Amino acid sequence: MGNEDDAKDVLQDSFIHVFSKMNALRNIDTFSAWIKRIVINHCINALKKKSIISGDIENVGDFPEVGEDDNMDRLKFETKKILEAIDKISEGCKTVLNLYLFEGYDHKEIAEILAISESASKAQYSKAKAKVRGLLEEEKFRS
Amino acid sequence: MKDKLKIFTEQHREDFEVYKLDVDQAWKDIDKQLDINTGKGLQIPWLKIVRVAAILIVIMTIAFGYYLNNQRLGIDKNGIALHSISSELADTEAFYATQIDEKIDLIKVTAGSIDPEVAAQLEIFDLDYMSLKKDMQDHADSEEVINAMIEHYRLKLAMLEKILKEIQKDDNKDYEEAQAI
Repeated sequence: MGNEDDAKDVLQDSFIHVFSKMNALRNIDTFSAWIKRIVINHCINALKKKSIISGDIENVGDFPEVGEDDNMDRLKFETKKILEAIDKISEGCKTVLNLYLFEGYDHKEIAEILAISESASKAQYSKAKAKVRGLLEEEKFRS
Repeated sequence: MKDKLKIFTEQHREDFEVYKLDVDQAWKDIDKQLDINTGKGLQIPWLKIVRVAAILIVIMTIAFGYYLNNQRLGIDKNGIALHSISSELADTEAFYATQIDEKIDLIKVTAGSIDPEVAAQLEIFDLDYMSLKKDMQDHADSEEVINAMIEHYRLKLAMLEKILKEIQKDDNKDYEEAQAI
């Protein structure tokens, strides 16, 4: 969400929604996934409202869907550095990357959540990862 | 090929949770908001309830008043009885009613029971009287109906007296025959 207060507001709104729509839950086994999806949807909507992300997530330009990055092997990952790098990339890339890396959704699910194509999700992720890698390399070079 | 970044984040997922949430406070806020929302949903519409109650009280008062008035006037679903029209007619009605009851009791005592034909005739009288009561309701203070109702009592009494005389005549005859034997 970009800042802690917005994140708390969205969390609160999401849980209000959860409680008010509790009778819509058909299968109790999907309860946690249902709540998670509601929170994610509220986050996406809040970001869209603030025009932080827009429909242009679909347009990745000519960024290739890269297979794997050998360059990553050379980097020693650090949690803090990764978060700092993620903070610097565009919101569209960041949203896809967060959903994929931290929320555990696959590209098909991300495509459904963001109403984009699966290939666009993959391309956004590749783009995001490339940017993060570049920022991490830059950071490594500076240090 | 393996996604190194994905593998790393999965292995160190908790380390990425840099923002610590005050869970108690978050629940309090949610609870507070839910109370506000639920309060809206369950808000008791007192004004509506008072209005409905007032309407019900008015209806019940009118209905009760109407009932009491009817009781006072002797009006029931069957119409208006003579006693509700005037005190004079009430006296007349009471006189005939008493006389009729006495004659019926006397017949029962003398004959042992009311003859079915007599009972049927009395029923016809009762039905006629009901009809007159309804006429009275439709044409209040109608002298013609009042006279018909009094006439009804008079006829009923006359019939009962005649029956009683016949029974007594038969009894006397039986007695005389018994004495003659």
